[in-house]
Amino acid sequence: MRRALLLWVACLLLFAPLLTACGAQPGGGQETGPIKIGVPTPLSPPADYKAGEINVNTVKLAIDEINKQGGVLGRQLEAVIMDDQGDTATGVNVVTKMITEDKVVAIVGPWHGSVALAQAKVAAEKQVPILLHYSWPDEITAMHSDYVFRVSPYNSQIAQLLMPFILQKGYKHIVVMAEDSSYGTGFADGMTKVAQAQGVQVTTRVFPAQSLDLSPQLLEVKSLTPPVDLLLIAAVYQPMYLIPKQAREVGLTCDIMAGWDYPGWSPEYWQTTGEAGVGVYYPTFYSSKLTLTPLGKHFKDAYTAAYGHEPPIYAYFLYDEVMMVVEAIKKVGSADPTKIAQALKTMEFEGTTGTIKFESHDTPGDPVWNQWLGQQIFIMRPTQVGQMQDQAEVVWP
Amino acid sequence: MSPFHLFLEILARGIAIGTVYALMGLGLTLIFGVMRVINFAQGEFYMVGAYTVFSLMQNLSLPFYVALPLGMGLVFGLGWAVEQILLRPALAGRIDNPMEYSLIITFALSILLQKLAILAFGPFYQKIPDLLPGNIRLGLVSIPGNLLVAMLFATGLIAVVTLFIARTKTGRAWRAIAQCLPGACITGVRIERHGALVFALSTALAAGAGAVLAPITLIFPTVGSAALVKGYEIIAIGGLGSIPGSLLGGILLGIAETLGSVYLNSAYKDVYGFALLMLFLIFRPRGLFGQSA
Repeated sequence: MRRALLLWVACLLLFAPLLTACGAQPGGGQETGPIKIGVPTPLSPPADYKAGEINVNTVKLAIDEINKQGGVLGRQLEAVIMDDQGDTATGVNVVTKMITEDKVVAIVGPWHGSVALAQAKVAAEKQVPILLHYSWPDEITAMHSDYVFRVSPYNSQIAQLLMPFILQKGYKHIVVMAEDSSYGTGFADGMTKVAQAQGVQVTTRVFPAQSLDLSPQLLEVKSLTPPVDLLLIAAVYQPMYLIPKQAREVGLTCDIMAGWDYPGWSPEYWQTTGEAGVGVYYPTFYSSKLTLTPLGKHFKDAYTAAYGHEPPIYAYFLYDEVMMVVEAIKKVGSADPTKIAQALKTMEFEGTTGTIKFESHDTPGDPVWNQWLGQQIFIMRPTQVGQMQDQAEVVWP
Repeated sequence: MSPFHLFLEILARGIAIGTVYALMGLGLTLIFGVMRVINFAQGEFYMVGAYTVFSLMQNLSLPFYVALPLGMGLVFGLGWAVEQILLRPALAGRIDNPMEYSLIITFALSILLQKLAILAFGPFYQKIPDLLPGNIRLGLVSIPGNLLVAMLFATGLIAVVTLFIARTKTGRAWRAIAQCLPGACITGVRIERHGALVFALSTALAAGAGAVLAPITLIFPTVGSAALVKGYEIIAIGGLGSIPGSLLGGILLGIAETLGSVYLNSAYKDVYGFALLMLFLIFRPRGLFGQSA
């Protein structure tokens, strides 16, 4: 028994250095072979796999373009694509694997907010730059990591961008119906702070994200004083379709605004919301009035030719991110993740919709850290059943 | 709107939705009472019922009032098949722990049904057209037409089932099995056949609940999970094996949820049901009408 034990200990001591060597490699740092870029994104239902597919298509398009031009530093680019299933635990595993085993030098493509937040923490800890193209929770950049970069808009910023429209319409009392996720409550908090600073009253009503019937809450909202003039919906599950309909059913006649642009492109919107969906305002970062740079026009044409449909706005942001990573590698002459992160921090890049430069505010907890603030926002409004984003009325600016 | 008026409207909605929840509870209580089996897939039969009726309406252009009984009939058949294939071994005495076995196998079935729904219909939200558009005025309160239809349907169905169990020979057989299995055996009741019937009927009830609530809640692959949890809360509140218990338990749950989410905090809507459940477990563990252990 004792001999067996001694034998075991000897083996462990012998193999321990090997085990630690396997686990502790820093990301990237290889000198030859393809340069790998990690793409963790949802690719299977019930997560938003349609967006994930578009993310993958965009990255592939960008990488193919670069490789046709000879790659970067004489090396080809390679995408490491993995399905994070819209689940936090899976997302964390996927990103960890990409960094430790595949040695990716940068990560693009995370999608769902809560998953992206966890993934950003892992990347920050392992010192590999991660870029968010459309993940909105404030916390992602509020952690002030030098490895987390966001081209995407974020919750509080959207609230701020909505204010001029809200003030122009003269709304005095806004009710935010928020789902109990970090997106919903984050959006409600952001809206409250920004609106109240400008004299607009905000009441928040939180509901479980997968609620099947919101009419009791909506009845209560109807009975509030002073009367509500705008109902803002911050949800990504079925309540986002149910609320406009159930609000009209309980007799709420105020204006309704969706917190993000699902009425503009979701095929289920008109099916599920029906008539009640007409006249619902929604903010979007894309419209026929969006100004594209030459790079932007090039991307739009290339994507449409390759995939048969026009790219959504977030595809533009993602394309920009891949190109920025390539620029950074060229600038520092190396594929070292830390050097790439340093280059990104100070880079000025002529993107698809404008010049991208990351800004950082020193206040702890401020979401502006490696955050781009140059997105163009539009407010749309469908005037007829069935109108999608390209046909809806642009009411602002 | 005056506070009293608001209260009445909320109360009316709570009662209405409670009667539909009661259908879920009724199905579960029948299965447990007669078969001593825990059906973890009851929520998925709710979901399958909704999808079946949706599919019949979309693909065969049937009106809702034809698709509903047809859909319930189809799920009845499915429930029968499930009982024969998956649950028969437990009841035929070939398994050591029939309750644990039924729990595990129906849990696996629920996952299978969910994934099949995603494959067949996609993870998207579907909608059945409104049954009765707009609101209906009933005295002081106005209630959405869909909810009124759902409530009438659920109450009617519960009444029919209750009468069936009280007055028919089959109903008597079920009561006998629930009260004393050996005694029922001795008097010649065909246990296995009744087991299949009860299970199939319960799944049909869940399917009906799913279909009739679909215009309000939308249809999607995981819509059954909330229904399942509510069903179990109801049988714990109303008492295992008691039919009036499921009805009253359902209504109590509906009222607790809607009143709580309006007057307390809407974020904790699901908590109110659990709070009610805990109160019952502490002060009256056998539920409203359950038999004392």
